Amino acid sequence: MHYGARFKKYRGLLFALKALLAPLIFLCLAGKLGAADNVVSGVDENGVVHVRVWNLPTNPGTQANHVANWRVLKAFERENPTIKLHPATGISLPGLGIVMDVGPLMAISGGIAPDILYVNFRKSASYIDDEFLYPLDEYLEDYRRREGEKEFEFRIQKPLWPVIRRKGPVGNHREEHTWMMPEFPLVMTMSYRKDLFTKCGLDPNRPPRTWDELYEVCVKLTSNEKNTFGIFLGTGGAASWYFMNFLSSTGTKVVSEDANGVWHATFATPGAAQALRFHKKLIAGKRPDGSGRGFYTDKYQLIGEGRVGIQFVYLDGNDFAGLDTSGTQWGYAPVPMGPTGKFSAEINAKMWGIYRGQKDARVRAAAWKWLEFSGSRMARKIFADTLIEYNEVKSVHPAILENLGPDYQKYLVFMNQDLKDLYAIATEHATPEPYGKNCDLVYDYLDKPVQEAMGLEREGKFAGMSERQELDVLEGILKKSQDLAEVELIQNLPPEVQASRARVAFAVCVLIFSAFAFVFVRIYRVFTPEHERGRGWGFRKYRFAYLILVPAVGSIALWQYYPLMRGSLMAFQNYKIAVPVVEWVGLDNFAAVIYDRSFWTSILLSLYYTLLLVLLTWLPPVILAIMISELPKGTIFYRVVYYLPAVISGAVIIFLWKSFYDPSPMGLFNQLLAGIEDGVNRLRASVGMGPVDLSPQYWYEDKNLAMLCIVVPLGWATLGPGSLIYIAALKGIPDDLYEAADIDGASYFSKVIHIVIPKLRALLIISLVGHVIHGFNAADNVLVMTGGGPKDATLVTGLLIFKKAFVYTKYGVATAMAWIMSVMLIGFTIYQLKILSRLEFKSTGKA
Amino acid sequence: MPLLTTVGRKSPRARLLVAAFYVLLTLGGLTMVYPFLIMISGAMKGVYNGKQMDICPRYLYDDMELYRAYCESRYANTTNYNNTSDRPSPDFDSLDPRPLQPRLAEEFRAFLREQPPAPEERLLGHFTMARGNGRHDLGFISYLSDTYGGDVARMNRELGTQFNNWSINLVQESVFFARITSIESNLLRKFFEYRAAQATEDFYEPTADAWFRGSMIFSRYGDDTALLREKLGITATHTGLISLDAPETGNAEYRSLREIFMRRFLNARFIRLELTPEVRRVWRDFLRANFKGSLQALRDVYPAATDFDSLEAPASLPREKRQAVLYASFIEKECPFAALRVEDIQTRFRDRLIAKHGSLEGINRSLGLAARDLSELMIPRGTLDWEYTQAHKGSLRWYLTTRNFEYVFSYIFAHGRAAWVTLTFCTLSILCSLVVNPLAAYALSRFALPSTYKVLLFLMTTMAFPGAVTQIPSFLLLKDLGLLNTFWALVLPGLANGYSIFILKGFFDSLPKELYESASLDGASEFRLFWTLTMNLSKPILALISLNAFTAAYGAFMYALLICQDESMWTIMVYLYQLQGISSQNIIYASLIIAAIPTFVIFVTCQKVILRGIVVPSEK
Repeated sequence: MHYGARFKKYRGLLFALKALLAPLIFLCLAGKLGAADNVVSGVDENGVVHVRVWNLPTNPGTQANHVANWRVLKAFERENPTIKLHPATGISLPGLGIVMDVGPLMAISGGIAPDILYVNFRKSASYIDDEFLYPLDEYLEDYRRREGEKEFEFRIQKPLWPVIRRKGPVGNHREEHTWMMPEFPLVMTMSYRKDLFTKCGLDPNRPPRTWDELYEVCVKLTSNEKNTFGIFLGTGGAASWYFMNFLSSTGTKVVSEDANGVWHATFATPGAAQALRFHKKLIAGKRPDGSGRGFYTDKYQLIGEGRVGIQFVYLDGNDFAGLDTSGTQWGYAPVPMGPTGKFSAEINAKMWGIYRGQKDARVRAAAWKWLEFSGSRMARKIFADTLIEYNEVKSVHPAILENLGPDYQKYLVFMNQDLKDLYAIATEHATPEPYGKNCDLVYDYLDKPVQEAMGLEREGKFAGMSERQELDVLEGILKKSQDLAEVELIQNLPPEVQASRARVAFAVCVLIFSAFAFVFVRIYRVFTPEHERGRGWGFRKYRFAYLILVPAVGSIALWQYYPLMRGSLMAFQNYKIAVPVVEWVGLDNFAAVIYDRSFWTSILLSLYYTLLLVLLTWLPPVILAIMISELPKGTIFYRVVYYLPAVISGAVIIFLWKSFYDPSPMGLFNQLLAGIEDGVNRLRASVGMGPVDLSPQYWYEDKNLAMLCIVVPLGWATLGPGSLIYIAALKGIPDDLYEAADIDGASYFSKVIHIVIPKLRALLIISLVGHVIHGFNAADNVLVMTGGGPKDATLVTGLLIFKKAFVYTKYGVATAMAWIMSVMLIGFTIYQLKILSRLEFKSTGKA
Repeated sequence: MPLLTTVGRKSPRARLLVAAFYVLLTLGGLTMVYPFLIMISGAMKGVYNGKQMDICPRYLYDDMELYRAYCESRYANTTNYNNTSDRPSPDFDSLDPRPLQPRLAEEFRAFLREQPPAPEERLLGHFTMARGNGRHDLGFISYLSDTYGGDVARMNRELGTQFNNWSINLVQESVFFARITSIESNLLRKFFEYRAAQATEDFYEPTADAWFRGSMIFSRYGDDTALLREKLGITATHTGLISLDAPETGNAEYRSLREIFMRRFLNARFIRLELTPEVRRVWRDFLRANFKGSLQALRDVYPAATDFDSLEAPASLPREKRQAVLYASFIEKECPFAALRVEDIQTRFRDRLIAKHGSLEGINRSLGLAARDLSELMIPRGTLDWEYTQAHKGSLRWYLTTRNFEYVFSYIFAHGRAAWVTLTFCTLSILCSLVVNPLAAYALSRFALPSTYKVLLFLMTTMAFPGAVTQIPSFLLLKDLGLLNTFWALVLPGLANGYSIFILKGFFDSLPKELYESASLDGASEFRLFWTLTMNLSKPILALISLNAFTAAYGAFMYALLICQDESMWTIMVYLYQLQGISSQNIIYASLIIAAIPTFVIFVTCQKVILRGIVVPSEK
């Protein structure tokens, strides 16, 4: 007996060991199998330096500019046999903004930052402030010495210096450094599709030169029948980027630096109102033929299909080789003049920086070598030679040909005349894209008035207004947004305001943490029955039980408690992902959140979202379950039919619906709507009534419909799967209850009220609370459907936190937001736990 | 159980109610099914017919629509189509091959058999690397994959490329239009190898005439025949008859367009020089000016040259790269225009017709045509394509129906790791969900631990915090532990779940205690108690847990994307998500359907078990 007991104990332990080890071994194996064979930068055993470069070409391609870039790369490899470059790309999340902005940031957040980063003007300030970039001064000095002043000046064009060389943090202070290496400047231009012009009866050799002409042209180009559009413009998050073209034609600067070197938002000018008026007319103006609104499209693939007349593109030596510069299909012209009679073209440049998170100096040096080589005289020569060979010398930047000497200057005669004129105008009038502090966010703030004007126009709010009145309204809208930008972005607050904010933040923090303490005590009370209190642990006696609890407890401790602790610290830091410096900022993050209007708006939006979610997903499954349970035949059939949406997983449902919501008249819902309108009108006509107007809707682009558009698919998708648990629960209600009710003469409805609802009460409440908590945490669905737009009308808190953290790398602020939000939810959670503690769980065991 | 009792069910009111339920459920069911029908039919369409909202694609019953859908697949876009067709059209909706020219088509097929075109004269149809769902897009990729044993790294090594996966971009059109004489891209060389093995019918030959019409005429003046006749003084009776081969037609404007096109745009490969004494003289002057009279510089390019005067002018494009550039710029700048002759497959076809039938009258008579000039004889592309569709109706319909699906399958295959990653991830998720939570729940339920409630509290308190609070730090924790881009990152953070443990514990509590007692008395080990007894009795609920774990893992894409940004760790769902950005709606539909199959099959086969496994909470 004694022996047997010991054996039993031993067996128990053995089992426990097996149970613990098996999954661990499996995981180890899987981890090994899954270890990605990705390239890590560094120096290998053969002394070859591996460098990861953002968007490096992967193959020669067949187009001239691709071949040229490939040859440059190969030439570099020949010259530097000990350096191996690897292409690195990032992920793209539609709705999160422009890929080239977000991609590198996501890559940095995700721990796969390339060694050579792509930087653009608007993002440059945050890249410098977040310490992503390694100072290039020494490299550049060396380069200047070796190549001489003349080459150096050509390589880095003068207007670009203020952008690449400025003050930035190094350690704990700010120093002036050169942070980026620019490519040859890009110039914004308008390209137009000559064949489409001809098709629509326009002169293909006369591009629009003024806004009025541009409007006329767009009207003529846009046709539902032919599925053609006047102009390509972004909506969503990119609207303001396209709007910039018109804005800069009025001489308005989005931000400007004052005498003290402080940046101000300055986009609320009368000129800007003109530009806004014109822009909204293009996007949402009524078509003269009454076929809807707007003369634009935001579908990029339509450009390739030749269905878009006009687009704005950057011209540079690299990019437009991809465009057709033969002059047959695409024509080029300056961005049309605004009412001020001024041509204006935005000047920009791709810039490259070395990632400061790369600690190996050899890798950095190798990275620099590539930066140096890729724009060197030799590289430029290879590029020009290739394009000459491919009969596309027209696509080389004239300044580059000029610089390469007499052998190349003779090719200047091949330049497209349009382009030559363009360069001349561009260099004269160019204004650089904003590059100051928080300029990436300025686009967000500029987006709001653009979207608002668009929305108003779509709703026909401008009908009957005089031009003056319209401009006043628009200037007001711009002013509002500019003030907001001033307060929230620039944030140069007087000390007394800062002090009062800190006090409020302190109070809020005290509130938050006492709320959590209170909650903890409450939950403890709720959960621990009276008689259980004060008993010990009994580790010795129950060591087996504790042993098999280890995985669960350990995992929760590591993945829930540790992040919680760490998160609470992060909320008080300015967390920088690229450098290990911990910068304590006290309550600044909380103060920033509390005084962030967009945060409170997002809370309201979350409430609205939750309300819709509860309405559409809480009770409908119950009703469905009751109906299905009632059927004498076909239960399984209906069960499968209603379960269908569950076979497409989460976000994909949103994609599907998003395509149904397509705001153009070609979209499924708009076609259905047109069909219904047609039917109704025929019916009304047959009884002698006038027609009704169900004009095409903009669905998720309409700020009033957008939220509903996000929630409806969820209602659709969860109806069937959600009803399963109620079907099972209904089976658990004994028949005699209904029989008794029958004897009492109860109606069907009163049986539902008096028998079904009370029996399902616990389930219903848990599900309600679950939906509320779930609704508040929502981010994915919103991100996929609208990305928070239009005009931030769907920027719920969950998504705001996500964007702050992963797109703007403001981890501290994001965590502070999450804490404040969780305080608001805490009541629900206690309630949920309280109910749970009173329940017992059984499966009905019946199908 | 139904609310209506067996007796109550018989009353007319109850019957009415049930009937009303049927109607409501059927209507509701339609809204569930309709999007799927849209998806399925959309997945069977291309771009041009994608906007037709018919549930049944028209090409399945309409021959003309079949012809149009075939043309879209074959030419990918109207530019390609117009560069080869004798029936130019602005879009695929209105393509019409009539009037047919069957005998001319027969002649052309015979011509192709006798004089097969050079590789760079023809393009492979159904190859649209940009859109990706053409038959040969897939064919080429699997050819590459077969050649290199499915090893991308090996392909990169041997071709000198740096592809991350099998999604490979290649634009073949530039091969035709650019003046390159040698192919330096190994990938392109491979593509030509692949092409060499394809059937003649899959190729099409762009013609200089068609290219001229498309790029110089239609783009400037539109495609209205009457308008063109008026503006350009041409006599063509329809736009497909405008030809470079008729030097005398048209007014000055037209002739200048023709000259600009031939000198500047037409690939010099398609121009032959008539070597008159004048051309020879101009050529010598051109060379002298170009090399500034330096014989050495000349020898550098023409090693055989002895002096400027003896170097013979080339009659067609030389193979050597620098010589070719000179030839092209000679045509562009200096060569007398009268000496330029277009020579492409269409002119050779005309030559053959003349050789065979003697004269234009002979051709008209024996082929039943009414051409007024030799230059009006075009390759009857419309008829050829129409006859092809008529002969292959069945297989074409099948191909058009399935090609999007096939594309998605091969896309998944092209990212071969994705299937493996997904499978591993799903399996791991299921295994973990079946081990960690049930073990903990068992410990809490089976042993009357004095600390049960403390442990439960510990496990469940974190529910009070929304995911957003822990999301960022746990992401950073993964980063610090170096677990990003591994399966650990996908599985570990969700390993244990307090709520599941709680529910499982509740369920285990409800199992009869007597069973455990008697089993213990029979000497059953703790393992047997857990495995044979508890887990066995809980099969349905465990099945449900596994299903949920599976769907969660299978459908996860956003979190998976964040923590595994490295492409080699992307799951199928992440790839399908990326596919959204690069493909047409129709391919997206196909991808959704394919992605839905596993989940659907599992639900339909397991729905009884699932329903039994649902745990219903009730008040104590």
